[in-house]
Amino acid sequence: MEEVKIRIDKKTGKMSFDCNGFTGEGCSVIEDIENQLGSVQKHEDKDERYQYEIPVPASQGLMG
Amino acid sequence: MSHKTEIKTELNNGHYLKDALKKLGFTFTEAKEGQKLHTKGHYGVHEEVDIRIEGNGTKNFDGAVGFKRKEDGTYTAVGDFYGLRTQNEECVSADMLKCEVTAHSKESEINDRLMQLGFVSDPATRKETKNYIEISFSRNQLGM
Repeated sequence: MEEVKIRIDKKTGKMSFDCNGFTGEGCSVIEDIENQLGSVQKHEDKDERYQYEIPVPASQGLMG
Repeated sequence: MSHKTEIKTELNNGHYLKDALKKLGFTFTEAKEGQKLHTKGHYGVHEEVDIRIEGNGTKNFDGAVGFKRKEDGTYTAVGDFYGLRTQNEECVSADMLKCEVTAHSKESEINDRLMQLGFVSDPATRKETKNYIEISFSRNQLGM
């Protein structure tokens, strides 16, 4: 189940969203949500989706 | 003394603006092509508008304010806000009208856009306070 929660601030008119853990706000909320949903669908059940969980060696990136 | 107030909004979609007015309980008149519509302020404020708010269930509005579409496509709230009250007898300022209409207009737009993507909103989860509107949408993931 995909869930999107939208909040519209009445004083500023700004919208913010929480889409499957991804959050954002600003003028392009709708486009951001569509992009977010698009990316979720695109990578769904693909191996790449899980690669960010591979542990990164502790020394990598520290010394430039 | 003139009571004219004009306040710019970021709204540029008449459909969602009218939808917001309906949700807020307003009745309104929309100018037809070539027709000139004016507000009916009690103190001589007769501004040309594209949408005139006729009422909200009380006698207070009575055509005193409306929305005018500017050249850049955005709407401006304009008219005589003096003495305007909500159905709960709260004062209505131009800024308050702008904020409420903008928020409800955006709600209608986001509702339409997400419905096109297959989402549904549960009215029971909708929350509205003086400061914000919160709506939750959900859909079954594709292919599941």
